[in-house]
Amino acid sequence: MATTTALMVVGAALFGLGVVGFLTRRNLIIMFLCTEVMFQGVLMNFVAMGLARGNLQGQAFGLFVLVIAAVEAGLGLAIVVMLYRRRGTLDAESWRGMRG
Amino acid sequence: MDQHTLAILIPLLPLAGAVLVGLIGLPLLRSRSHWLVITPVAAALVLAWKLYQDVAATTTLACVAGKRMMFDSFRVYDWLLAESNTWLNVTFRVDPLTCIMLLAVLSVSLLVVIYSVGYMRDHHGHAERGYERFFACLGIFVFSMCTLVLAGNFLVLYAGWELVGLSSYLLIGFYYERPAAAAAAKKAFIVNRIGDFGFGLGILLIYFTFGTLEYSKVFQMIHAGATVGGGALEPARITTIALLLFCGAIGKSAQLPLHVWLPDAMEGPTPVSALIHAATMVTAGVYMVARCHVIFAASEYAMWIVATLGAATAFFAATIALTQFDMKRILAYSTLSQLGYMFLGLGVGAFDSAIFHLFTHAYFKALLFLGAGSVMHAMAGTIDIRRFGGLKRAMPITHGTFLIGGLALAGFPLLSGFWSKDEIIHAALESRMPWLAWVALLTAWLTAFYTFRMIFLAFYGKVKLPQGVEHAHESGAWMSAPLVLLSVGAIFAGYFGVAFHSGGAFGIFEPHGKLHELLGVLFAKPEKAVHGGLLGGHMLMYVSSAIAILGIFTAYFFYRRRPTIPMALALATGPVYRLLYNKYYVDEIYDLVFVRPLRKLGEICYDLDRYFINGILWIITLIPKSIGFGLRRWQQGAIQGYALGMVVGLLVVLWWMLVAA
Amino acid sequence: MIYLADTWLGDHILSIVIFLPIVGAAVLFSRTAWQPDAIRRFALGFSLLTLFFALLALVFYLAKAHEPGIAAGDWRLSEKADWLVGDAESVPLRIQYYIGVDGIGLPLMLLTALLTPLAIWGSFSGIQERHREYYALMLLLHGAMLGVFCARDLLLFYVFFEFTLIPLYFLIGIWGGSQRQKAADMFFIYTLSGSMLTFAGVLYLGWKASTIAFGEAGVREFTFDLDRLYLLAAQGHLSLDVQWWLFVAFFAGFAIKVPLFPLHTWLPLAHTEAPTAGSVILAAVLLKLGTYGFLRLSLPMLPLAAVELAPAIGWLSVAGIIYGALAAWVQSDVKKLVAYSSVSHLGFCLLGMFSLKLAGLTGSVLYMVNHGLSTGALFLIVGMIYERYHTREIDKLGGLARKMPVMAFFLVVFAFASVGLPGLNGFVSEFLVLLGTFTSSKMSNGFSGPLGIPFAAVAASGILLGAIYMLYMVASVLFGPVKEPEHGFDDSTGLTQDLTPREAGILAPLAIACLLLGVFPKPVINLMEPSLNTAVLARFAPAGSAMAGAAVPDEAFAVPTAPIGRTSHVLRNFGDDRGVLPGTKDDRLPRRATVPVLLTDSPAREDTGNPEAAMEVLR
Repeated sequence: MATTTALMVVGAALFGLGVVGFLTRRNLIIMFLCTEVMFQGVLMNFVAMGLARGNLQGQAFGLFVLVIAAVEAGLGLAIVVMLYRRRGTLDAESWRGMRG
Repeated sequence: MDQHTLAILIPLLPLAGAVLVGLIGLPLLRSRSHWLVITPVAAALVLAWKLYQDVAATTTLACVAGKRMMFDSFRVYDWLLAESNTWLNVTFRVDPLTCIMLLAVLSVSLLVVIYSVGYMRDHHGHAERGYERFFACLGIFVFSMCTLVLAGNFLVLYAGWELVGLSSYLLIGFYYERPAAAAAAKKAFIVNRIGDFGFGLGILLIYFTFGTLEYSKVFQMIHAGATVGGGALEPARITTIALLLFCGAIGKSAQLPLHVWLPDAMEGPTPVSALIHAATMVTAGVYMVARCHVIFAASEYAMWIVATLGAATAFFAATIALTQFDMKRILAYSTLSQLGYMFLGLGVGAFDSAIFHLFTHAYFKALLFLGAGSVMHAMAGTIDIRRFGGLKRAMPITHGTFLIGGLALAGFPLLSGFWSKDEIIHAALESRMPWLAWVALLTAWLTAFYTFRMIFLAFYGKVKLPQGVEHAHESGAWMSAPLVLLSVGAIFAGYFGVAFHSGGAFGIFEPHGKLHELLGVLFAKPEKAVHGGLLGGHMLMYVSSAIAILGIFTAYFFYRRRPTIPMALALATGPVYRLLYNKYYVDEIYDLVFVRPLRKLGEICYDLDRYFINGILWIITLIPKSIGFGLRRWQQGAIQGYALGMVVGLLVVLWWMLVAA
Repeated sequence: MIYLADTWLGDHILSIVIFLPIVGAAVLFSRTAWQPDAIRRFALGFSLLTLFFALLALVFYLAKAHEPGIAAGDWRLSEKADWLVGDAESVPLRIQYYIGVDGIGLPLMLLTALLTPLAIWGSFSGIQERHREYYALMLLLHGAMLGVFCARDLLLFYVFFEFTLIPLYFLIGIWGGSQRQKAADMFFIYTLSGSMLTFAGVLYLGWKASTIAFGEAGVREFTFDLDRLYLLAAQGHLSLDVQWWLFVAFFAGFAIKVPLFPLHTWLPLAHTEAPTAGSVILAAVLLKLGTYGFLRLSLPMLPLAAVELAPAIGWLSVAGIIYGALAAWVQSDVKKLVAYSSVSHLGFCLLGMFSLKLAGLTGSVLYMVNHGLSTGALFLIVGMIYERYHTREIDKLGGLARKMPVMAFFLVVFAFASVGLPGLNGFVSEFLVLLGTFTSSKMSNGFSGPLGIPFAAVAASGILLGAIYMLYMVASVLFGPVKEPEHGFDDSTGLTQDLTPREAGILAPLAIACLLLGVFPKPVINLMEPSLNTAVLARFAPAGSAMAGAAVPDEAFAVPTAPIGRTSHVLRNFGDDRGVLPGTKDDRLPRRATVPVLLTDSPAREDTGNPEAAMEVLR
């Protein structure tokens, strides 16, 4: 298996794991972590593609996304904390205000 | 001052007075505010007299030369833009008709304003509440009436027409706290508006046909049979115009079937009834028809309608007056009846006679109303002639002047009403509708009867006072002076229209005086209308004198000799009496036929709005709403639900990209 | 002051007028710490300042009349700048910030500038919460309304037109009566759904303009410049069918706004529920946006369809006159009565407009102004009564003339102005409208209008019905024995029994304006007559008549000498609305041609790939 393919398989796996985790777990923090995992999967693809094309754009973009992800993680966790304070639980089921 | 300045100043002076009452009378002068109206009205009267002399001088010259005169209007300022470069102006026109009307209006106005100073106070001489408002409204009225009379085109005529309606509305509703007064004011304005609806359309049709609203131009075009487009003037068109204009006259002059507002208008203060609803404003219809005599004379059919309606109203109103007990209402119905006479005169082509009657009627009817007001003042507001009587001794001036007014109204020989009414009857007799003259003569008998019924009940017999009035008293100088002056007018105003004449059976008078001479240049009568023809010589004079005296005697017999007869008669003719007493139930019929259905229609409109139109809208909004309801089940509100949707969507896209494409 | 007209101030006076209130609103939004008193003073001050500049604009407008090259009916005080302009090669788009006033817009602009300060002043006692937001929204609304009357670019017009909805939605929805939410929603959705269709029409016109080469340079671009859009129909690029559909699209937006029967049902609710100032602005100005839209856009841009549809609109107007009057009569709520009277009055306004006669058009524009003055004042008075008694039920009020003589005086004045009493403003416009309608079918300037005697005859009954409901209201509220609600009058906000000097001061200018416009309307008529001739009537005059020449100025869509898509801008002389290159006059087409004619000498003709042309061939 070529390096690129291997990397992309890993990326896809990470992404799939994240999706499954997000869909099956009820804990807000875990769901949040799952989105991070999906994030990393996509990032992996960036790197792989950059490798395949033989330039550094994929790497650069990967670093860029990492930084953004860090910021976003801080923000996301802050939101989760606020949500927890409101309901006293981390169960995602407790937030169904948009139910039609 | 030239004629133009005079003509502009005459209406402006009373207006300035009214405005001043609002500006300084209300906050400062209070119960002395009347000076702000008396002075300008008196000044306007002086100016009107000057104007009259001016016009009379030129007119007499023309008359001697045997020429008809053309009177042009002059522009005061531009008002409305009808077409490019064509303004509808405010124009005034000064001619003998204007001058005679101005003199009548301003002289009666002045006397009534003076009278009001006494009338609008209580017995201690304190001004009534709204005293200033009253005089301001009178000022506005005089302004509006002068504008109406001076108007040089139909637009200004219409403006004056509506403005007198406004003053009438404000003054009828002067005692606005009384529901009856408020209702009467509203009724007066709205009923007038029904007539104005036709009047306005008539004016629009005039513009449509002749392309101008100036009297002189319109009249010239009618004489030439031309229209603005160049086509010939059809008789049907001119008849339509005349009848539409006449609608306005019916409303303003309270002829059948729009007479209902005038008796109710008596809810206003008595001076108002005297000035507006007897002497001046209600005669505006007569003035208008006389002013538009060219239009009316061009349509035989319209003339027939005017004459018939006039005679019908004269008779109809007189019959109602027979049974009423409210002095002011009797006088109101008598006003209707006398206006009917005037329209009869107009309809048979005796325009100058109608104006003559208008002129004399202004004095004697104002006198009668003011006399009734004097009685009312003394009786603490009671006006029902069943509740007082024998006032002759206690109120000598009122009695004397009222008697003169009554005689003039009844057509007693040599008083003013006699001359003018006689002329109209005579003209009717000589017209193509002589039977109208017989109606008029019958009405004359009724007139004399109901007038003296009122006089005998109120002033003669045993002294009887309403509850709460200990003794009757004569009114003060503010009120009695105008009464005396008006009674002079009631006696002598007729001699404006008769001239001394040597020979003839009756003696020395000839019914063709200064007034006819002046108006002759306008109305262009072919020859002098000297009594003659049918009954021979001055026969009609004797006949109508006899009828007047017979009417007075009948009243004397009924109410002084055999006071039981009226009651017996009323009982004997039960249904007829009730019909008359209830004024032919016209108000009730109108309420049933027009007011209620219209109101119902309004409710239907409103319901239509709420249920039908909004219902349709509701149905339209159902479409997006039902779609929304269908879709909302997909909204579970759980984060993972949405995520699942996204994943499914992603898979579908993937499937489409990898497999399907 | 006149020499200022040629300075920077003169060039940008309209922008100042439009954006001054908007700037005020922005400032007010940001001043969270201000006390109510300061907020009120600030809002009133800013609106008065706007009024001052609007009056200055009037002075400049008159001063510009003497400049060479300015004809009496022309737009003046114009400003033009590019707003959204694409690359001419790939995105031929030109949306401009193009404003100016002529004799039609100016009176309405002045009306807006006069009424908004009065409405703001009138809110001092009525609004007791959220002062900052309220006055900021009022100012925002003020700016948007002024913008509509000045816009010379169709898209700019539309933006201002729609923008007025937003502040008013909140004004009704937050400060309104008990059903405010429903009223605001209904008002918003009703008018918005109509103007969506209008927007489709706007886009079509812009696209249509882009298919035709313009000027000597032969520019083809997506444009909403009204100067150019007027020429589409004038030069026969719009067939009757196309005009018909466009007219219907514009009609949807404007007729709802007017409101024309039977699209009026949002109005009574919105009026009743809105706060006093909201009703005043709604009646006085916002309804006029609809009539102004008809006058400014539908008539001149789509003359064929206007003539075709005028009888239908005429009958709807007549129906509205009677229907509105009858429905007004049976109302138990004074405010609703006045609201329905608007339906009746606006019927007159449209009737006169579609008579397509000078008298009718003059009357119509005057009607817009006069209705704004008298009905605005009536709403103010109703608000003043409501603030005292917290009721508007006719049955619960009576004899107020005794308790509130000053109020009674004003109410009678405005009621009679509304009824059309000569000497007050209502009569002038009503008479002119009826005169125009009555004589509409007569030939003048070689053109006979679409309405006629039957319309006027039926509409004239409105003067009778108007008297019935107005006097009914006046008699019930003012006359008769004194009748007040049990709780008596509320002085908690510092009101006195009769009007306070502030309230009298609000009504007095309106009363004076009513009187002046009634007695001597000549200056206003003189102001608008040339513009009505140039902007509207000339578009209906048959080709070859003297008037028609005025309608088609030299800057026609004309023979291009340069290839299409050249990047030169034809109109580069910003600020001067006449600085355009002349085209040839040969391709002027008969105004009333019903067959679409494409330009015969221009490359545009060869553009057979044009779907519009194909569509027209199919028809």
